[in-house]
Amino acid sequence: MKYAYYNSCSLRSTGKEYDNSLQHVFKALDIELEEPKNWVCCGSTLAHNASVLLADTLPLKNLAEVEKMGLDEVMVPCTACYNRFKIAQYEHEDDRRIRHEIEDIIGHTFQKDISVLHPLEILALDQNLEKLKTLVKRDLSHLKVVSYYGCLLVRPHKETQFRDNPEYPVTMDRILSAIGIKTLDWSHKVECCGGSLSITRPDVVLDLTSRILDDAKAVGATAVAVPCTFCQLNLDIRQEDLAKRGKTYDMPIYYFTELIALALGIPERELMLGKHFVESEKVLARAT
Amino acid sequence: MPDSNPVPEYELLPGHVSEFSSNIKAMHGIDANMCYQCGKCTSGCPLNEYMDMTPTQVIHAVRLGLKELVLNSNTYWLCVACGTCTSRCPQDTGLLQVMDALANIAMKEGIKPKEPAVAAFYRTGLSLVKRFGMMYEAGVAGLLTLKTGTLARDAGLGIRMLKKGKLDVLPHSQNAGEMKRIFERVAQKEKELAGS
Ligand code: SF4
Ligand code: SF4
Repeated sequence: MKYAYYNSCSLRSTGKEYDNSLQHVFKALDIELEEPKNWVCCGSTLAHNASVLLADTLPLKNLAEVEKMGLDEVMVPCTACYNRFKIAQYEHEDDRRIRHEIEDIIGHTFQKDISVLHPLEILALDQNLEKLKTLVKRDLSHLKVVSYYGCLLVRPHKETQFRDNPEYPVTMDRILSAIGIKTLDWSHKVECCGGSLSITRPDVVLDLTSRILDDAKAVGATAVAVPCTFCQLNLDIRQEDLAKRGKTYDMPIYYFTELIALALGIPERELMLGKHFVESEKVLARAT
Repeated sequence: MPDSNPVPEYELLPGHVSEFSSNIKAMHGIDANMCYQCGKCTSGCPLNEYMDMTPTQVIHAVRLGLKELVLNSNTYWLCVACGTCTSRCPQDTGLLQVMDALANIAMKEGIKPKEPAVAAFYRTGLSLVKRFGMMYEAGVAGLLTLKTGTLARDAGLGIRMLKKGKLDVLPHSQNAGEMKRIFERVAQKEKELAGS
């Protein structure tokens, strides 16, 4: 099994530990990942504000590169990229005129549909879940995790078509439960963390992240699992600022792939948990 | 659409469809007239308490053609494209795309942004993406600090990230030549489309 792997800007900087843990998990599953050579930034949260045409062109340029590799499935772990890829595909499919213009700009005519998948969707496939179960080496059943999905995977649902319920998704919960990690029911699974306002309106991001963390704490969570580099950063780095406001959480924010890698027995030292702002190793040790 | 019809939509039904709304529909395929003002978008919008016009008010003002009022609001700058409005809208108005349309128009027409830091972030970020073919986070943070002094507000987010090795000080280049060409061709296309 092989997927094209859009290992985007954020996974090379803020989310290096996401890429690292993801590679461990896919290696354990014997699934090959190959990066397209001539990729470019998908425009992320920036391009659509300046030019919708540009915002649709950049993802399709990358999908053209996937097609040139002879593959028809691409894994896109960054949720902002995933969102932009899916919206571009949706608008491209819907509107023949845009389709023609963009194919002209990128100099490529699509022959087939490329399917854009988030690693959550791939890992939740029956065969992969079954295999994961057989690979578990470490008991992490003492953790109490809330799965946080955020916005960009599940909304707008008509466009992203993420394979789950957009208001109450369970994919991450299913995967983590399968490998022996308990997940809790909570009400902030798809609330927004303020995303790209991180540097420009930190006041807003502090309000929004504290509501999410309050709920996680209220249901008794000891950790949060996330599928998104924006969410990871906002929920993690802002805890220091929230502590200054008198709100202490000490809540480690893991990429879901880090939790899976840990359950598969990959030792802490091979993961990059030290990149988290909130201390993330203590809670992993079982109380004896 | 037949090219032969010289009468614009907003003149066929005077007072019913504004020119502004009609232009947005033509360029972005979004019909503000679909909105029946139920307020569901605003009730779910995570940023509504910081906005000076709610999403529900924005779409209504677009429909009425209150271009200046809308473009001078902070609403579309604060919109983080979380998609809640669009996903929950019973009328499928595509409010999220209305927000994009407004930001596109404001940037093209040089409207003075109500949220200067946010606008500078988009502009700076995108110019670096154009130059390097990929994102250069440390560059965005640095340039923003110089331009708008956000670092003071930001409690040293950039510095804390540098310490954790989450930002690379120097930019990486990724297929930058091709990226530049794509930006140029998109700009060219947009000119053609606007003229057609
Ligand atoms: S949810 Fe839709 S119909 Fe209701 S006010 Fe908002 S845009 Fe209008
Ligand atoms: S997409 Fe923008 S306007 Fe709509 S709910 Fe989210 S932040 Fe509010």
